[in-house]
Amino acid sequence: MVKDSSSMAPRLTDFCFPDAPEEDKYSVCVHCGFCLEVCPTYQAWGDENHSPRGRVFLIKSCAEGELPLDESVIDPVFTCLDCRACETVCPSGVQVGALVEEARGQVFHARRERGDTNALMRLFLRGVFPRPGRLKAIRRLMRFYQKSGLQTLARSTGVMRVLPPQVREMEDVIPEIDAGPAIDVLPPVMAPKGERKATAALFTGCVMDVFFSDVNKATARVMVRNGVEVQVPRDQICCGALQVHAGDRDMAREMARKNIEVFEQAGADYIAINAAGCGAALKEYPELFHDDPAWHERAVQFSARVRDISQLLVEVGFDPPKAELPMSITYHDACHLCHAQKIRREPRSILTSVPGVDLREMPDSDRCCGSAGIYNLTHPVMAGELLERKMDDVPQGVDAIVMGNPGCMMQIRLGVKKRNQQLRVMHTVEVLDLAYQREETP
Amino acid sequence: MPLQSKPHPADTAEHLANVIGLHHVRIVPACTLHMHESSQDVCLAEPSSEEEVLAVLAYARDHGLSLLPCGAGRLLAYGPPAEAPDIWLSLRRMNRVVSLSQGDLIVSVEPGLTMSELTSTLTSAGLMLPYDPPAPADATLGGLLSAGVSGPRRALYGSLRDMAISLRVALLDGRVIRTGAKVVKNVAGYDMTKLFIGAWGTLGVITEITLKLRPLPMHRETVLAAGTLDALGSFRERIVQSALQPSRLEVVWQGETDKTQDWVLAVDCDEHERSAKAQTQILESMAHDLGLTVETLEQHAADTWWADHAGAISDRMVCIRLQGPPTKLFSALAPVLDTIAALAEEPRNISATAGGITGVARIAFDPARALLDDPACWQKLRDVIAASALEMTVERAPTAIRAQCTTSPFVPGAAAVMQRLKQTFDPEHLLSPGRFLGGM
Amino acid sequence: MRDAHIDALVNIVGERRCLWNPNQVRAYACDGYTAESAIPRAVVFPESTDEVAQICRYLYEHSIPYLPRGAGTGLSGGATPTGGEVVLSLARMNRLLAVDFDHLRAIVQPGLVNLTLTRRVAHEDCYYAPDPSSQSVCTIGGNFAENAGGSHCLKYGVTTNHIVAAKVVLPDGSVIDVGAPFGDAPGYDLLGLLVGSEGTLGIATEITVRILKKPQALRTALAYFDRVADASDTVTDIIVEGIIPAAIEMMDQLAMQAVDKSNYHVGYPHDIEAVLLIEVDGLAAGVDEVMARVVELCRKHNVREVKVAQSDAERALWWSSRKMAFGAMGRLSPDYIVQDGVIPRTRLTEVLQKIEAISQRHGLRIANVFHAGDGNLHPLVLYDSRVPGEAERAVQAGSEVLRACVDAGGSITGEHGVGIEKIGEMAYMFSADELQVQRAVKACFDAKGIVNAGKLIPLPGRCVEVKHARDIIEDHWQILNSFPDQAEVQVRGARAHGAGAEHTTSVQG
Repeated sequence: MVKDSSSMAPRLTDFCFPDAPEEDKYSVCVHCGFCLEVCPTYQAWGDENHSPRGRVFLIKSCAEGELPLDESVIDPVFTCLDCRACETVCPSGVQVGALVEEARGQVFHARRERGDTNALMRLFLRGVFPRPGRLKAIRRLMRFYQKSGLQTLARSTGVMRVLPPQVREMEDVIPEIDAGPAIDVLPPVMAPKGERKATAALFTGCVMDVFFSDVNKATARVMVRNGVEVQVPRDQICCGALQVHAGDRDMAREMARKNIEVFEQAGADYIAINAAGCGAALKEYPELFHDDPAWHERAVQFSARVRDISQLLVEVGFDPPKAELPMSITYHDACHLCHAQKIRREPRSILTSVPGVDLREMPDSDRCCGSAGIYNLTHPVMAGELLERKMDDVPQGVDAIVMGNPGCMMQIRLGVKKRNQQLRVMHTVEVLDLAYQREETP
Repeated sequence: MPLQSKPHPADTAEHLANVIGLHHVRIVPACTLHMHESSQDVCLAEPSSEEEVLAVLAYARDHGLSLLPCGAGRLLAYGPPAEAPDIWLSLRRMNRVVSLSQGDLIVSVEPGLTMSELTSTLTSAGLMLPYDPPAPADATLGGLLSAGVSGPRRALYGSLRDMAISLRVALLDGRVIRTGAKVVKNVAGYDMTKLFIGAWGTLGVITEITLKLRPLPMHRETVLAAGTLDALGSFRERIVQSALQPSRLEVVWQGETDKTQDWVLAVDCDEHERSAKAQTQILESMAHDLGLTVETLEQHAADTWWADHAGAISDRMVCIRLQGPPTKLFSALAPVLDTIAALAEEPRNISATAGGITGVARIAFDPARALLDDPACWQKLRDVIAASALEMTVERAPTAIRAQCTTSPFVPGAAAVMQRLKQTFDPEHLLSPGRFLGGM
Repeated sequence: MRDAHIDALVNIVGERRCLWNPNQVRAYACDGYTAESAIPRAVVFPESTDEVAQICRYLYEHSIPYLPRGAGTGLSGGATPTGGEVVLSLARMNRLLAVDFDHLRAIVQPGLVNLTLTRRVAHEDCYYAPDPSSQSVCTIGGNFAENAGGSHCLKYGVTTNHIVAAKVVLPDGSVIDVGAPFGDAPGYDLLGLLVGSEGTLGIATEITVRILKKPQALRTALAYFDRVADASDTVTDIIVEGIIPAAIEMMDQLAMQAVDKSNYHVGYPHDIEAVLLIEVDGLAAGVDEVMARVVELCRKHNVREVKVAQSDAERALWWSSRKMAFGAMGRLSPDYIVQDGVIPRTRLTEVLQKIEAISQRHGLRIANVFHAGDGNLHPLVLYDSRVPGEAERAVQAGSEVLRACVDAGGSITGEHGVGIEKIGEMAYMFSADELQVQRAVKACFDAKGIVNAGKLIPLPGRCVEVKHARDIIEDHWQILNSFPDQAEVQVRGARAHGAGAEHTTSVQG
């Protein structure tokens, strides 16, 4: 098969939309393959296409016009959990996550052009998450569903069976939703206890505040307890991580601009976040503005102030609790905390500072639990396998599994429920908060 | 095969004398080659260099003469029995140390150098080849390599195939090839060195061998624990499961009649003094727990014990080698020895040793007359060994016995590849007649 | 394209375990060596010896070229389908079949990852000794094919010393057992020949390996030397002294700079020429004495500073710093070529001077990372493919380094294998006769010459041809009509010339 000479000329790229994966990012990959064994999808299938190296190679081939943007590229790019485990082991520092997200952006554009989009996905990505009002409405609806007896009714009548099993499973483990989200309940400014060491604007997040607003409240309490003045900017919206993961980068940019403006106005020293996925997204805002120097600069300024709550507490210095909290726990490293943000030490130093807490490490604590944003809904089989492996690794006899991400908390609640175990699923700050509370009630 | 008849040995001798010198060619009776049944005369040629080897090979090839390379001839009693060749190619005169590098831990030698000659050269340089074959000390390196036999030190250091890194080989077609490289690590091309190890000289004539060495251990200490085979089996298990690193671990029979009693487990340690002492202490306390009596030998006393141990195996006419997992080996020893007692001329003079890590056992004895004449005598032994799921090889024996024992354990695919290899290197089957795949 | 042969493969492994769409097999175009790549005809994922045998039998019968592949981390292009081969990916054959702790043997499938084996036997204090830098990903099957080495082979040997038996599918699909779990197998040592044969003689589908008990104690030291010569004299002296350390690794200043920029920052001084990482192991009693002696020997050779690791974390950092060295080069230079020469260790200083001269002559930086105890050098030639001519100069410099190693009495490869990368240098190391004999051995296993052909041993006249081909490609970007059908050879060097895009040359056989 001799190609004629015309085919010798460099072909155009198959990424024809703006904000495409950049050459600087994929050309760093030296194809060493060190990433293969940490990749959950490669571990499961053994197929190079579904490995970090393979995905980078496909993205590169597509960028260079060697491959069309068809299922051979799209499928692998969307099976990625975006867990970033590959980035931790990569000796050359390839930003696989950013490349995959940019590639998804291309797919999103291409599909929209063809009018080929999933209506439900579109509704959530564009209709719900970017709009705090609608999100709160859903929250209220769910609370009503739980409180009114509808939940019990739905479960007993079997109406739930019309939902796909993965959604049904999740419905089952939704925590009890309390009266108000942190963003409404917490005062706009909370004065620190004692000397003011710093100011922090709390990013309440969407999923966190819908399902785990208690964690947000605990986060605010531990900051106040440790001399941090807490602000809760009312106009903030969802971080846009889900949009980035799904490839809807235009919407993500719009949401990022809004948040940057809101937090610029707040003017706090730090932007505190307790959801690993959102934290990583906020820190990566500059990735969204390659083609927009002005906003890029503002995004850089913004992300420089973002701290995971564990990072912030260690940075400003926190008081080790004085009260005893006799509890045996294990810690799960949320992907977006340990791989994306390189935060491993801080949560552990917080947990081990609590008198009475016995931290027992689980093997491969940094392997993805399968939650991965909405991956557990889009790829339930893979997510289920990962959850099984995660639950297998939980050491015998612990009282709680602790982590720093709401997505993981939901997923692991599901694992606990499936196995019918007596295990609490907690956020790192909840443990600290609980210990502080005990100080007050001897 | 050339159509004309083969030259008479005298003609061969005359021709070769012109090439390698009158003093180095003789006509000898084949019986000197452990071939008692042959009345044929053979031409013994003793080249002193690779060129001379090539000249002999060229003559053999051109005249369709078979050729048996050997060193001191010690290993002719081992392995598949050779048939009487037309030319007996003795490499005994090629016995130089070609090069020795202390810093690189590498030595290159000619194939006719004996193990004892090499050992004395290395010892004076503070080095050793950690290799203790069950063969006489005057066996040559070329012979040992071609036979591929290994001894107790295999437990820690591996066999000759782990030590030989490069060869020069003269091929029948007149080419000389180098295999491997004279460096400790090399993966360029096929690992051709391995092909010639244990090939019984059927593929080519080795003219130089390069070996990886070790520094002479700073201290040698051997612990001897005496007891029943069962107790020593438990002792073995504890040692293997510990962090100790014995360089040799053999259970040796020192009894006279009862095959379950009077065994000794010898544990050797090549280390510096402090580690060796610590190891000895651990061994002593383990042995104590098991109610075994212990004796510790150091330095020369240890060396002497192991030399005697090797001698006891290599001095007897017949040596049977068993292979398999050490625990199976240990439990098969008593019944096997009982069976062998019936085959031996003097049942008390049986030597037996089994490697607790290597999984290689050797039982040596002088055969009863009946054994030489009656193949049926072996059947019972085979049955006993087969029942233990071990592999048996008659490693050394008079030709008559080995001739009865050749079997073909190869699966067809492997045998076919081996046949093609033989065909490639020696299409006329001139080299080491009778020794290819046990005469297949 | 889907044809009757693909249907036959699908019949064996099923639709889901056979990739044949050209866009879907592209990820298998190369391994860890990226300078050349080619599209395979198909990729199949067998899960048992029987499936491998059926596939091989079918392909051999129909004279369809094929090759095996593990994790694809090889550094010499051994798994690159330059002949448009069908790739047998053994990644799914990754089970640990059996472990016998009583006799320290394990039977594994070829796709089992090296480090996974160690992890799976660690609860009994055992480990698998060969430890290539890629041990966290590379497979035992790949190690078998390449006869992989590692940092600890000075004391413990390379892969061939740890594999005792294997079940092997021969090119025609017949299945044979080679080697023996204990003692020696009768006949020729086919196992010895197969290990390191780079997948050209057969496919091992069950591998029996020795596992070892972990040493009771370890001591690791880091020694900074002002001069390379002092460091290399120290290495020689340690060995002459009668100490065989578990490992002795060396890095030069440039390599230190790279790893200090990576995630594993040690903080090496900026004005030393060499650092040695020395590890001794053995019984707890005595290991400190040996380390003390090593430290003394470092001092004797003017070491600036020598420190012994005080914690596991410190030891782990030093080792990570060393093991990530290749990848970390990305932080110094956009491209690099890694070489794998071996020399007698006593000639280290002399060869390093030659490498320095080569570096100067070509105006390219060369970083040196090596297993000093074995004399196994990994010079890393740094270049920037965007600068016209630099890629070619780097290839030339790399080749000269290998020649310097051969001239010093060494080898062109100690552990990475020949593959396609060093096939041109084979003729520098071996005579025409020696190469011909190796080809004859290949023919004994693979009479049709279709299993991973064109790797390891240059075909007659091929080494000249390959060199020539490269020259032509690099100079003229012309199509070369001497490769088999379907082969697409891409030369990365193209980027140095072209308008930024890689050029593809397709050729007809």
